[in-house]
Amino acid sequence: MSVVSRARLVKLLFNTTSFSERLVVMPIIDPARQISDGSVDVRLGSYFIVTRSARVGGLNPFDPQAILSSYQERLYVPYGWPLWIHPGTFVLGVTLEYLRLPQSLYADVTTRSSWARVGLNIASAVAVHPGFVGCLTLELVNAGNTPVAIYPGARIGQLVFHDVPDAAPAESSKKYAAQIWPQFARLSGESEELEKWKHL
Amino acid sequence: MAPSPPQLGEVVRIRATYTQEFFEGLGQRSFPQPYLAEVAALPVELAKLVLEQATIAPPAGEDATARHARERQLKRYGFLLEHVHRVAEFLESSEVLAIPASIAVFLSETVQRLIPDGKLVLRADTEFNYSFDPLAESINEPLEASGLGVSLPTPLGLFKFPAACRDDSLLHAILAHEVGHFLDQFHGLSQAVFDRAGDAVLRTVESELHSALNSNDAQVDAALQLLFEWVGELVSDLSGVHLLGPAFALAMREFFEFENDPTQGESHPPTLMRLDLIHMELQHLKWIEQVMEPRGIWPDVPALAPPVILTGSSSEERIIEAVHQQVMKYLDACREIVRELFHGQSFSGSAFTPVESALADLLTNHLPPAESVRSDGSSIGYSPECIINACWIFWATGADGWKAAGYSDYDKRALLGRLMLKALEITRIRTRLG
Repeated sequence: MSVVSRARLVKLLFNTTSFSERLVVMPIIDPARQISDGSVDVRLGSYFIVTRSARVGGLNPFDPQAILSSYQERLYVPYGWPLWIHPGTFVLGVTLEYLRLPQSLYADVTTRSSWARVGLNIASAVAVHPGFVGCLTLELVNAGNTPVAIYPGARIGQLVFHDVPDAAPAESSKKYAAQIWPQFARLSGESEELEKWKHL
Repeated sequence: MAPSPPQLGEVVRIRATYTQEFFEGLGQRSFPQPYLAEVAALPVELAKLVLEQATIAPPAGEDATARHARERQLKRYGFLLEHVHRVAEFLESSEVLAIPASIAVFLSETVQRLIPDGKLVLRADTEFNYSFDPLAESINEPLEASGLGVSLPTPLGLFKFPAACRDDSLLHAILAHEVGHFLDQFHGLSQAVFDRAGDAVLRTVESELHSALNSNDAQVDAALQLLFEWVGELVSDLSGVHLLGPAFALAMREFFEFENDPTQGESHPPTLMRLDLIHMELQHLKWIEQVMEPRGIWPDVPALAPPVILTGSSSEERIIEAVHQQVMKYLDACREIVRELFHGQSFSGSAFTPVESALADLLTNHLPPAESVRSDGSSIGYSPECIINACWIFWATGADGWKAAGYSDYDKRALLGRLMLKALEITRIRTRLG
């Protein structure tokens, strides 16, 4: 897979009218600054999920009785206002941009280096598959030793695009499709799969 | 020794101090959002003013008349604090952002377009209803009586919405009617309707009410009160049409689907009278083709024909029927007053119609209907009203092609709501920063 050039990204974003072939990153407020060779910067959205750790002894995402949303709380932070992430804290965020990748593109989401250097990591699950639709959930962790303020609207990450050769029209997973808020984990739905492993 | 009775001034001072501290704490604790902290700051200012007044020591040698006047004033302050406390109760349980931010922001900006500095607060309610709480108006009366020389510095609109529907973004188009109540309160629209219709009409109405209600004065008074309330509802419906056009009509129609008797009014005018008035205003604004069948499941029921008063019915029913007959005399004035308020500011149907298919294309492809890309690379943005209307019309016309994608109805509705919210957010960002 090769990294997609800036010129091609611009063409896919702005000069492709066919919905199936078009790359959607909406909105792009400052194209000159946000689009570079191979990548598009993305901003932090306003919605977060934080953990209410005092309410639970631990987290077993495969427990079918566990309701993850009871451990976690949705939080809204207006644009331009801070959310403080303390060292070692894990917060789910979301991109401001709504994305749709054509089948011919794959993307990695990574922390912009300026933010990485203050200890922030925005994504552990970095793969954005062809056909993805929606806002990306970001797994924000402060890996440094000082609290860090993050701001909705800040350019916090970047999507690095790659061509997918011989892309076949495929039905992408609907598990997290067309979401605009960060999503709670849905691992409990996979517990049946795990059951099989007990019989080995 | 028996304790001395509490002095009125001390009681008011204590209450004012607690009120001030409560609201200051509320601003910190419940409303991290700057917007609500600002709203919570208003009662803090009031409590401070009361505290200042109640702290003034009585003059030496105060005679009985002066003391009596001072105590009466202190009681007014105490009364004012009770009302402030009711606002506290509303704010404490308010969830302005329980309705997603992009809807709340759209409503807020809509209100500010028509009521300078007007602020709205939304609260989830267990009752399945949207409503406007006149609490802010009721606080102004004791404020005037207290003689503090202040009023709420900001017009405050307190709205309730059904808690169970907080994420049903499409349904929140009904809030345009509640904004209409806020406009009525602020601009005195209902009173303007009666003024416009004139004294001659009012005299006829009173005379006919006397005749219909057998000159029972209490019933005539109740009928006049109800008539005023119905006019307020009709004016708010018409404001809703001007604010949101077809989307408002479609949301109202859906909300009314469970009415038992759409021809019978009660605290509100009959449903069909409201829908027909909405329909006529849509026609006037040339938006009717998007709504198609605005009367929902009652296409053949006559609505605007006044009912015949049945002599055997209960007094309540007789009052309602009498009001039903009389309110017809005010429909034209209702339309005129609302059209004058919105002169040149109504949601523009002519801007919507040419972009309707482009917006539907975006929705079909699961994209927020916020901006379309042209072949030359430029993009077109859409107004919030266009977005809300596109989503409602897409939903009401069956959303062709979505069933093929495998969504059940609930999922389709939720997805459409999310796309609408994102589009509203994107539009706001484009407008402010683009």
